[in-house]
Amino acid sequence: MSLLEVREVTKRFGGITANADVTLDVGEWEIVGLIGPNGAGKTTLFNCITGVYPINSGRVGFRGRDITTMKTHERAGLGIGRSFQNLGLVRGTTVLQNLITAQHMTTEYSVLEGVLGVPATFTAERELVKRADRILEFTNLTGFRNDVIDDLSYGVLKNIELAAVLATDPQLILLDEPSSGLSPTESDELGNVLLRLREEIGVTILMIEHHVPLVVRVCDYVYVLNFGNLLTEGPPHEIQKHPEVIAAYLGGAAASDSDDEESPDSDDEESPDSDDEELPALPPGYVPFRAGPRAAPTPKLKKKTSTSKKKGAR
Amino acid sequence: MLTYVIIGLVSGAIYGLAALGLVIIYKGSRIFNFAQGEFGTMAMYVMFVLVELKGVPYFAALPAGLITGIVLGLLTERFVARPLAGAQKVIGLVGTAGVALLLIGLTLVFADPKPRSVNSPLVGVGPTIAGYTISRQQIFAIVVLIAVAASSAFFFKKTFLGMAILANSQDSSAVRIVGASVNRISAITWGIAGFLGALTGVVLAPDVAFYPGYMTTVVLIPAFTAGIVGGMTSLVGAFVAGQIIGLVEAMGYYLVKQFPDALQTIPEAPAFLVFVVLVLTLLIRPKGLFGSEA
Amino acid sequence: MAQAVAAPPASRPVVTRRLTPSRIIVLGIIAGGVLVYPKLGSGVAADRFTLAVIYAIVGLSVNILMGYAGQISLGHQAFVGVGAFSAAYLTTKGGLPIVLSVPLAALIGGLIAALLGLVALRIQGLYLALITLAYGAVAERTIFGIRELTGGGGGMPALRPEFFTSDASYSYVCLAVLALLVFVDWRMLRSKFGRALLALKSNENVAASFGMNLVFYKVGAFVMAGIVAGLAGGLLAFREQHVVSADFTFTLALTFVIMTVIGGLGNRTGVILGSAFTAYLPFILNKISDWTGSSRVIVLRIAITAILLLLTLTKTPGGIGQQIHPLTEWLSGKPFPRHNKGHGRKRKVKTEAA
Repeated sequence: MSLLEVREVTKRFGGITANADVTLDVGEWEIVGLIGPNGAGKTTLFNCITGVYPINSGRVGFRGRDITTMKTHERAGLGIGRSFQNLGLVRGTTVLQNLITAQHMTTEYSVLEGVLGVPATFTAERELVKRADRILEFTNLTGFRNDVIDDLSYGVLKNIELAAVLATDPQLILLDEPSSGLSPTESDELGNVLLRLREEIGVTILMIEHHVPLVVRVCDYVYVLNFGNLLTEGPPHEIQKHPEVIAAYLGGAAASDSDDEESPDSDDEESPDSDDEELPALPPGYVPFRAGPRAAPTPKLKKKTSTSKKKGAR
Repeated sequence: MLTYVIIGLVSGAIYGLAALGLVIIYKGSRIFNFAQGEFGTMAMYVMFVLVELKGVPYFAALPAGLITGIVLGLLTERFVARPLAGAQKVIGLVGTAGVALLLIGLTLVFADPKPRSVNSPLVGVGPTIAGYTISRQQIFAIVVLIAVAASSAFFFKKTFLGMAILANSQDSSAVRIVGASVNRISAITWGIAGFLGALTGVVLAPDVAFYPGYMTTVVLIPAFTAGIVGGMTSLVGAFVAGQIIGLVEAMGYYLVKQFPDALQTIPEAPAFLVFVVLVLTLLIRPKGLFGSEA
Repeated sequence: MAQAVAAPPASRPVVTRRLTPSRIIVLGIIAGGVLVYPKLGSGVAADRFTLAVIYAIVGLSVNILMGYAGQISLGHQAFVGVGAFSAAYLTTKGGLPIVLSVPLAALIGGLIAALLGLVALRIQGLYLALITLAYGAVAERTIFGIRELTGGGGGMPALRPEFFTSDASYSYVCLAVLALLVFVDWRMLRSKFGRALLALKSNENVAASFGMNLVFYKVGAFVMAGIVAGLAGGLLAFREQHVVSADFTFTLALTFVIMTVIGGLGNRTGVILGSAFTAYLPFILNKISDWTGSSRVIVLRIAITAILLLLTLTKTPGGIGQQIHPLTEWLSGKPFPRHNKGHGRKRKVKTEAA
């Protein structure tokens, strides 16, 4: 059973069908890519999965549970975290405050207690700061702890947003174009980070991406969207060479150019399959959703709730 | 009951004129101009000074009133709308509310708060339809409305300037590319709105006893409701919805007359009805009857 | 991430706060002045002071809604009015003592505001602003016109109990309430409730992705603002000892919004100062008109308020709060800032904005 099930999801806006019968699965501990030309409906699909948009038909399931009618904050409570194209951060305040704000769901006092300033809240708040600092350390962002969001550059903020998403204690992270605005070196770094996240925290990732080398290097499986429809799916190295995918991106250029166009340019990373030898064995009893997820996670970062027991977003 | 229908249609003409100014500003700058009413009140006071204090005939003083509105519109654009164009829309709205308050404040300083009116050669009885005697001034108001309707249809559809104003609301870079000046278009838009606000005021002035803030207190909320019901992006909507709101209000008066006891609990039923229409429209169909965006 | 960002700079240290003697003296003078003022002169000084305090409370209420939660409220006078009439009615017709009627009035204010909050769930931005304005205008005519509740045009009396009949003692009561509210506001902003409001203001989708229940916090913001406004209304009723619906026109609503904006949205101190100033303005103008002998000066009040608003919006958007930022920073123990950064107006990067 997959962690995230998207079944024939259709989303229409007036006369335009942004997503048409999209079906995809994300298995636990996979890193799945969602690619497609601009306007293919990828962010719309994210919005449907997270509940920002109500869908016209279809179903979304998480851990076997039907979440199609749940509100966004409830889905966040189940463990679905997400980043935004325009940076999902709170303006006008510091990085630290953002990380504390993002821990909203694990803040263990009631609203009334918070308003009245009951002493119990002080301990809870201190815990939040500590956890925020741990996340900053984990993501190497401690230097920006007290900087105001509005003063920082785009590249830095993308990293901070990722830290904020981690602070929401997610099991599934939806990343919306995490490498946009980053240089090739930075993208490379990002790939390392994502793999490390999966290995050390055990998160599952579904990411919208345009940067092909990153997708090829990091993703176990790729779905391709075009004009709202699922065009094709498969392991990255197959998708790379798929003529329709190339045509969709290039608008119908000759399929014979496939080898040049989509292969990673100056990428000297190993080919997709060679990673397997270096990975630790999968835990006994674990049944991978698809053949070949890359690593068994060894959670290093102690989270407050290591399972999905959320307090119900309030 | 028909009497009230006539009353509604007549006051609807005023609401339609006022709503038109609001819609034009919204189409041009995407903000709600809370000062639209006061453009009218100021024009009313200018007319008062000229007609009652200086003895200038009504129609001769009319241009002065209209120019007042145009100038106020231009000033508001230059000193409030333009600087706040990049900020959140709500800030712009608070800014125009500030302009309204400023204008009210100024009239309080320079004018006597006693209710005033203006003499017009058209004051006097006209035909009686369905038991309601329409004054000739009110007929004048309706004629003006029709004239404005026709000329704005022509202006916005057929002239370059009109189309540029509409284009500016969609995407000002399109306007820049064509070589027109966005600032100038913006100024002209507000000038037109000021003109319409003043027109509403001067047309109404002989028929009412006005005081500082009159237009804002009496006309603005129904005018906004008309704008919303018609669709804030629709000129046609402004006219049609103006009539609708006029009728709704008249219906309120009718109900009060018919059921005086039941309605003791809701004083000012007409205003309440208009409010209900506003809320319902925004809840059910925010883009209004003819509007194109929610 | 470390390599991509080059060695991260050493964490900018949190500035340690120092409570030097000079700061203590200044704070002491301010506090002393505030505490002694109501006793000065005749009861008139105290009466004006009370009004300023009540306005400050209203300002805090508007600030919760507009400054923290990013909503809009152009009909706020309705909440204050409901609070005033409720308190008056509960005491005069219901026989409840002031210590019960005022808090109840606050709750009623919260209830009424909750209704508007529910509307705000469906309607946003400019349209919501319009609804709040229309609501305020309608409330003035309909709710406040209901004879049974409000005594119609004549109004409803609200007499203070013997303990507080002196204006000065009533001043201190109101001051105590203000101080309490400042404390609550402070705690609330630093709690998850306050953070949720700020996130809501910044971008609703992002807030939802952090697990925040938008309905709860949006309506909650309205309820909190309504409670505080109702409280102010209750206090207002007993200040005048008589409540008349003509006191709550839509011009008052605009005044409330303007004084909060002038104070600086989101800045507690600024809002209190802006509101107090607005309350005192008529009296100041009275004084000036006495000196100059011209009664026209008094009427300048509205025009002045409007001009201040326009100046604030176009020149110093952070309002008074922005202007006194160096001073408040210093008083809270930090070193005197070199340049006035105000309230983070600079935006280098566009983050996801609603």
